[in-house]
Order: sequence, then structure tokens, then C-alpha cells
Amino acid sequence: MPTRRQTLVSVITAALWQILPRPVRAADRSLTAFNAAFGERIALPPLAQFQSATAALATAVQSMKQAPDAAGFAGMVQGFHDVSDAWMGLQFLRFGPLTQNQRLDRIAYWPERSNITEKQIAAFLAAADESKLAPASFATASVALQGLTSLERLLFDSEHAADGKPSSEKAMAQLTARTLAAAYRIDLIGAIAANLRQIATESYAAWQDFAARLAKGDQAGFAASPQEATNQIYAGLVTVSQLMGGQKLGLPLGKSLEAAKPHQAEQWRSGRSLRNIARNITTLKQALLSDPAGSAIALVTVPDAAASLRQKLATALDACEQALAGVSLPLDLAVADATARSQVQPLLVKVNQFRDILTNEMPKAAGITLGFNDLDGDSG
Amino acid sequence: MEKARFWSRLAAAITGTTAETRSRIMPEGGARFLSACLGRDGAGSFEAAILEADGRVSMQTMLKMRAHEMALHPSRAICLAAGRQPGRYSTMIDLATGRSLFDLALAADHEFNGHAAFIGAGEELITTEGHVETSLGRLSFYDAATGRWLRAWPSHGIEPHEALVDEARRRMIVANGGILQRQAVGEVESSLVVLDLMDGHVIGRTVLPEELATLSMRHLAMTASGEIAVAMQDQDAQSDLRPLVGIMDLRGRLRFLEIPREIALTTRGYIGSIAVDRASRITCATSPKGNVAMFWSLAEGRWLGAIPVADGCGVAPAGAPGTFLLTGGRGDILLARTLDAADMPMKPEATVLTRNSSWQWDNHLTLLAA
Repeated sequence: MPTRRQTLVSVITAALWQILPRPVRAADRSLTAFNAAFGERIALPPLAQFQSATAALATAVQSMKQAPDAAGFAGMVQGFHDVSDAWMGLQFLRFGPLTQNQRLDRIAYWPERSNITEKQIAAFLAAADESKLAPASFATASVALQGLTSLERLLFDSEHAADGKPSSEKAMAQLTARTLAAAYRIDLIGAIAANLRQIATESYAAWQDFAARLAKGDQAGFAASPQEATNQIYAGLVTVSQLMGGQKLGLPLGKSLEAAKPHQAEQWRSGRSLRNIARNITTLKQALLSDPAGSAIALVTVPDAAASLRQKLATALDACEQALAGVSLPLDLAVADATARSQVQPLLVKVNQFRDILTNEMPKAAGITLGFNDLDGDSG
Repeated sequence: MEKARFWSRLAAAITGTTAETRSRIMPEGGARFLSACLGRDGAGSFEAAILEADGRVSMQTMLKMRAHEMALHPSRAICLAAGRQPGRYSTMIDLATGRSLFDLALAADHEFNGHAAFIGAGEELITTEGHVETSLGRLSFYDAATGRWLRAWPSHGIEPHEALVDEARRRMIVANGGILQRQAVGEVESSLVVLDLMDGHVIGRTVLPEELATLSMRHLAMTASGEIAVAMQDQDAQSDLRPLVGIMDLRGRLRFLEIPREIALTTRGYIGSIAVDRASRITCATSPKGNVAMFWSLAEGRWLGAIPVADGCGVAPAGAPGTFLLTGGRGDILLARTLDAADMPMKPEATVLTRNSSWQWDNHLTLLAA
């Protein structure tokens, strides 16, 4: 029969066993402040930009409907580029309201399964059913149809011009023809634009609400605690760096020239593949370094460590930008060219080196626990 | 308590000991578990650990690679830490000392796909492997005492992931994942292949219907009656909600278990691992991205409910019928119960054993025989 002292010792020991291995980390209160500042200063601005870009696109489509000519077409193309630029600024928000209602996938279904987008567009055009374009109905259509992926298909040809530049010759001809088919095509673009604007409006409002709740330590069901929310915010930045490396560069590049897959490059028809990566880099700079309260470097509370990491991140991102400037062809052409491939490979290396800082060096200093399983599955 | 004493007691426990000793050091029906995890030095290293039934860690050892499955020897206190796909190392570990004994002699033109199983009395073990360039699959046999490569059978498919050995029915079941490029979105060539355990000839082959061609069958668990629970990964999760968990019967026919829509939306098409309880009455599948463990009763194929587990992936049957141990990448260890006082399947309930974020548990959890 254990004595009372033995029992007391074992109870204390058991309690210490639970307490001792726990690492020291920032108090929940300061994480609440970070989460709120992130929401206000890092998430809301690009969401606002996305909202205004989608509104402008919708206006451009209205103009096209009034006057379906080359000028109207050019307005839609400009709108497409602005919305795509804005979308690049949102790709790190993989936590919170954009994960609801399949918003992320509906904005852009990518990487895409080959043929699914073509099939969906073809089916819609063949049926030419106006009722399917009504907002409530369209929001439940295939994700392949709802956003930028099909929008690009409708504005750009799948064959480049002779000089390798993006071509819209066929696309424009199909939209400016004075036929019922052309009118429906424009209406379909209008439905996509309206859908994007609706998603943008909902997302901005939802994040406004979410940021306010985060300030009070309320994670609105998206995370179990302020620390969890911070982990998820950070994980979104890691995800974007993995997207840049693995999917935007690695997949088109392949292991060799023979294994190159040029049409896996993001938005290759509109010639945006490298521009998208440049936008991602700019966004990462902002999300990591720009704001004293809401950018990720704010999580590193030890001044020396913060200064060192700030330097490393800035240098690594600059190196990515320099490497990107060294690619002399559009990405889909570069990966299929024996010489240009050797310009893309260093870019991939720099992107992966940057990613490694985010996954290996920074988490501990920032008090972040990166989910082991949700990042990378059972292979890779 | 000194490490040596702990490990020798553990070794005694694993190899069989008196009932009295067992009840003293195994509080919950004798179960303990193996798992790979992230190294706690925060520098991106990897470890393997033994978890007690109450969630305490009683042994840990450093590994040179990230392990996926930890396969336990049928009778000796050793286990094979299978290198995560695409792996160059799989290491035999002495559970009594935590020491690495040897690496398996992997061929230069193949890579480990993360899973392994011992055969028979444990003189040999198999690993799933893929050719480094073509991903064509094979099952390699290794000498369990030395790691020497003995022979290989084709897996009759691309990218084999997990393989189960069913001694009672003299067969091996292999999940050919069929994925050539992990980041690519599209159709895959996945299959479940049943091989004769004597000579590796194909007894049966199950593939999915065309509308489910983006599903990769990857993880397996077997019931006492020989049915196989299968966990899948959707290589085009954005475009639709497709089944992710199925049961294959002895005739090779596959039926699917339903996931309620609001949970299915959070899974992102990925199931981390799957297990069947001790009594073969309940199956559990985990969704790391959805942060839930999901449960069904096997007899009816009925959804029972889900339990939140942050970054949850590892699941293994615990000692009592209807119970499972669950682990998560943020340090959660939970015990789930799915049978009520009347021994009927119920909405699952969980007890949190520990929530220690310095332990980040990796994908799979293995039950150490009690």
C-alpha cells in the first residue's frame, strides 16, 4: 500500500511528465493580436483588390454585350489579367472563409484534369441554356466551369501565335461574330464574371467578420485555438511556396526534357505562368516581412533571430526574383527547350531553398507547429 | 527511470511475460503502439517512438530518414521502419535498445514506397517498391536477420503502396496506387491485386469503374473474415466528391462507405490511414486535412460519426473491442470508443490521452501485440 507521500510524489511526477516536455511559446493573447493584424493588414487588402478586379471584369463584360467588338474583347482580356493578378495575391489564404463553399476551387480549378474544362464548356455551349447561367444555378455547376480556368479558355486559343506569344485570334472571332452562339458565349463569360464577383464580395465580408472575431480569440470554428489559427495562417504561406515549386515549376519541368509537360504550366494559354510566380513572390514578401504586427516575421519575438530570419527570407526571395528574370522564354516553351530548361532549373532550386527556410528554420523560432500530415500525404 | 531498465521491461512485455507483470506495466488491456514522428530538435530530423496505451512515450530513437509504416515482427522485439515513399532507406530497429540494426539492401533502381510486412514466423519480410523511373511495382523479399535481398514479385501494377499478408488464406493483397506524378491532377491506374503467398501468381484483381478513375487505392486493413478495408486518395478532389473508403469482399467486389457531405468537403480527397478494431466490427479512416477520424460499423456499412483530431492520421485498434488509438501531427493522442454498454455500435466518443505538441505523430500507428 503506497504511503501518502509516495502517492503525492507520483501524482506530481505524472503532472510534471505532462508539463515538462511542452515547449515555451508565445502567450495566446499575443497570438490573438497577430491573428487579428494578419486578418486586417495582410488578408483584407488583397481581398479588396480581388473584389474590385472582379467588379471591373463584370463591367467589361457588360460593355462587350453592348458592343461585341475588338475593343470590347480587349477590355475583357484586361479584366481577366487583373483578376488573375489579384488571385495570385490570395493563394496563400488557405485557411478561413476561402475554404468554405469551395471558393478556392471555384475561383480557379487548377491543376486541372485534362479535358474536363473543355467538356464542360462544350456541354454548356451546345445546350445554350440561359437558365443555367443564372447566379444560383451557375454556382453549383462544375468547378471547372466557374472561374478563371474556363475564362482563360474562352479568351485565349490553345495554340500560340507563330512567335510563341499568346493568341486570341479564334477566341475573339467566336465572340465578335454576330450570332446567337457568340451571344451565349459572352453570356457565359458574364456568368463567370458575376460568379467571381459574388465569391469576392462574400469572401471580403467573411474575412472582415473573421478578422474581428480573431481579435477576440474566437476562431469561428476554423481552428480550435489562437495557436491553431496562427499555425494554419503560417501553413498557408508554406503551401504557396510548395505550389510554386512543386506544381507551377516542377510539374511542367519534369525530370528530363522527354518528361516535360508544358501544358501543366499555370495559365499557359494567356502567357501568365511566370508572371503568376512573380506575383506569388511579391505576395510572400508582404505576408512574411511587410507589417510589424501582422506579417509572419512578427511571430519571431527574439530580436536576433528575427533580424537573421528577415535577412534570410529577403535574400531568398530576391534570389527567386533574379532567377525568374533569367528565364528568357514563356514557361511552357522554356521547359520544352533544351537550353531554356537550364534557366528554369535554377529558379526551381531557389524556390525550394526559400521553401526550406519556411519549413525547417522558421517554425521553431516563430513558435509554429507545422502539421506533419496535412502538408504532404504519404508520398512525395 | 533509466532507459535500459525501461527498454528491457518493454522487451519482456513484448516477448511475453507473467500476467501480473503485464497488468503492472500495461494499464489498458495490454496494448502499446509504434509510430514514426518528427524529430523534436526542430531541425527537420525524424524519430520513431513507442507509445503506451495511456499516451505516454516510453521509448524513442533517431532515424536517418522519415519512416512511414513501422512493421512489427511476429514474435521478436524488432520492427522495420519503412522509409517513406520515395525512400532510399528502411531500417530494422531493436525495440529493446532502440538501436538501428541494419538497413535493407535496396536495389539502386528501385525505391521504397513506405510499407512493409513480415512473412510467416518472421524469417523474411516484404516491402512495396517502385522502379525509380517507371514506378512499375514490385514486392521485394528480404532476409529479416540481415536485410539481404532475396527475390521480388511484380505487383502487377504501378506505384504499389501498402501490402497485407493474409497467412490464413495464403494470400497477399497489394494496393497499387497507380499515381505517376503526385502533383498531377487526373486519372490514375489503381488496382487491388491478390497474390498467392506461395509463388506470387495473381489470384484476383479489382479495379475501380471509369467514373472513379481519379481514385488511388493506397491503404489497407483486414477483418477477421478476410474482407479488406481500403482507403483512397482522389487525384482530382476539386471536381467532385467521390467515395474514399471501401470494403473489398473475398470475391474481390468493392462496396463504398459513405461520408456525410459536410465532412467529405473537408477531406480534400485524402484519407491518411485505415484500421479495423480488434473484434472486426468497426472500421476507422482518418482525414488529416479535415482533422477528423471517421467511423463506420462493418456489419451494416453504417456511418457512426467523426471525432476531431488535429492533423489526425495515425489509427490502430486498441485492446478492447470497438476501441482505437488515434494520433495527430500536432501531438494529440486520443482513445476512441464505438461500442456502447450493450455492445452495440454507437456515435464514437473519445478521451484525450495527451495533447503534447512537441510530439508530431506521422501518418501511421502500429499496434504492438499485447
